[in-house]
Amino acid sequence: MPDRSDLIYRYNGELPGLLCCVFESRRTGRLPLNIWEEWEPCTSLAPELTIPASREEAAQVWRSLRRLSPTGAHWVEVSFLSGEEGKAMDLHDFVWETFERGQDITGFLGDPVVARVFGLQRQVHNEAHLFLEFLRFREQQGVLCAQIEPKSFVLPLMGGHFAARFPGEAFLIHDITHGAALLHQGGRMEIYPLEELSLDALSPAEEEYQQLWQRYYDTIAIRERYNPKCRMGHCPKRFWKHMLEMEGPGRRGNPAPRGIPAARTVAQKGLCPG
Amino acid sequence: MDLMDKLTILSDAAKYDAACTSSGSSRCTPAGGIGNCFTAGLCHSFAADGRCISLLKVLMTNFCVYDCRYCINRRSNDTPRAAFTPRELADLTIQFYRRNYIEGLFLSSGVLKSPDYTCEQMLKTLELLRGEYRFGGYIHVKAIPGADDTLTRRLGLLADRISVNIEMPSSQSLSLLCPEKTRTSILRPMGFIRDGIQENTTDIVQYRHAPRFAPAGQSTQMIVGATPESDLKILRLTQGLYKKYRLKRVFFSAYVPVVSDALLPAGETKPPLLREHRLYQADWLLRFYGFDAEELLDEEHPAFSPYVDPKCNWALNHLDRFPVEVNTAPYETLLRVPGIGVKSAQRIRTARRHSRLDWPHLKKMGVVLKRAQYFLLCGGRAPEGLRVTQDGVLRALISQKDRELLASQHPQGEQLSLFAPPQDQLTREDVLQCLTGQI
Repeated sequence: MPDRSDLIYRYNGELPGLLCCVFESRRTGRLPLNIWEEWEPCTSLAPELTIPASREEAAQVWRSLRRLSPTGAHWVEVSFLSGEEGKAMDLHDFVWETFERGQDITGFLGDPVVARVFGLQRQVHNEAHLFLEFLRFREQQGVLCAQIEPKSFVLPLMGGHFAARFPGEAFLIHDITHGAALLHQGGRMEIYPLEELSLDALSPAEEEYQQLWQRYYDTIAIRERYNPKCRMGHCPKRFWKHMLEMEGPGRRGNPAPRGIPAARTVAQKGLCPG
Repeated sequence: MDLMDKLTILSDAAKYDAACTSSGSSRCTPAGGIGNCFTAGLCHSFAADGRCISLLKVLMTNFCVYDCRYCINRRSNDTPRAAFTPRELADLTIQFYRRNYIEGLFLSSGVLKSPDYTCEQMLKTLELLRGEYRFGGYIHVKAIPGADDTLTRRLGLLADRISVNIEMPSSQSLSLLCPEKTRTSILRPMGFIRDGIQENTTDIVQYRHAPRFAPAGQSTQMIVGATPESDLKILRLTQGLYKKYRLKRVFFSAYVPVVSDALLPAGETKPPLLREHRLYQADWLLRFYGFDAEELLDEEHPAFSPYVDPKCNWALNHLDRFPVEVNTAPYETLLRVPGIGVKSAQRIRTARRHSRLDWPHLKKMGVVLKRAQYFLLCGGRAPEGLRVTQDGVLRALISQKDRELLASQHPQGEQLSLFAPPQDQLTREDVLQCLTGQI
């Protein structure tokens, strides 16, 4: 990679915009010092250049990337959803490097640029997977509603799973962090901005199922094997807020098996045979 | 009795079944139905004991005609009894499933009236789910020993996984603790299911729409620590079950005293969780790492070391095979390096096709070097600045908890001094020798 110039790129915060940054740096042959979104406050004395988003340029970069490295293109798509700071620069360097070498570089896992993007896409995929598991729906006027607070914008990676699983259901997943919601209804799915979701009081049937589930959760744990640390390793606390068996109605967190005071800790080796 | 009480009683009675996996089956949602299966399985929650909750694990009923000594549902135990109706259970499963609480149903049962009657009740539930509700999610069902083969076959056609608990690691223990069950009464349905699965694989090749018989295979479970069998014996049995009965999984369940009996360990015995953990580690080595039971344990060492994991133990006993060169070692050899798992080995295999690997590369790729660094070379070199000291090796190879265990059993203190003379640098061999000698 050549030395970085002292120029800071500004882009519109969307993937095509970022691809245009690559177009620009390939055209001039000079790497930017950093890439910021348009709205980010200026924290440097370096000159800035706003890169206008151009559909043709983005499409051209995307086509070339897909042709050289389908896996790489997938990584870029997924990593872009990450909430990590500095992802724009990492992705730019990755695409730039792919073009520079003119080949699929996803196998060079030891390369710092590749390793970073590999790590980013893995992080996003992992988070999306955890939300597929830990998300809880509640029924409200025939619609299944759920709320999540992810670090990355995982909604686009989650919709397909639930749409395939519940083809006949209407469901709504509200991403509180990013102020967006995914709505599936009558076989159609869309993501739209939604700042706040107002939920009705629970219907009696819904309340009963929630209580049944909480009871099941408390009963299924084996008292003699109580191991809160192991649980936390598998299901980190940041997910608990919207899991009704953890911090749902009538709960205060750290639910313990029946017959054990919640504060007691047992120093035992914990395992998940599953 | 209302649903809440039934659920409490019947999930409480089912919780000692270890298996709660939803893996191994892949199915699309049936037309007009609900639910599919995901090959890798999903864990929807984790219970307070750290075990995953993937399925709604309940008994059809906890009435039982048997009197197995270790079992909480034994006939002579005074415990509240309940039974689900097929409709109640099917409804509950669907409602939990819709809310993304569970991946499916794990249905087991005590034996009410007769094995055949019990089996029919379970069949009714499964038929409701698969038929009326067009449920495509995961179903794990326990075969009832002694039930008619036709009934077991019908269960297998509706379920994803079917299992028969082998209960005890030897037939002596079985006849001692479960007087009404025999080795053959357990192994016969196991063989029947194996043949069913085998036959079904040929059917599927011939007829695309042939109904699937237990597509996620067969599993079993045994209780560890209630009877005197050694780890070696258990591991050999496990290997035999994988080979002979082509099981997908063997589960181990550390014995938890739930009923007191003169033939069982005393009531206050703690469940042997570390032993169970080592058995699972060894089980993974058998299934994914190409190890053989005889390599891990032998007649002279019939029990696992409490301090180091089975793979590390094997490596310490075969130091002549190490260190291995990351860039050239075959994949199978990489898998045998302590600290390197399937994912790391695969990543190394991919990355070394593209460029020569060095230590910083391994770190970047996310290979954990804490233990592996003692057993690997990169380009013929050990990692820079690797100091082989007794304390360092111990810290790397033995987990914090096991180190505390070791310290409590071999108490030895060390006076620290600001002006301590530089310690003699031990050679690598010295330390590894002293480590293997010690444990």
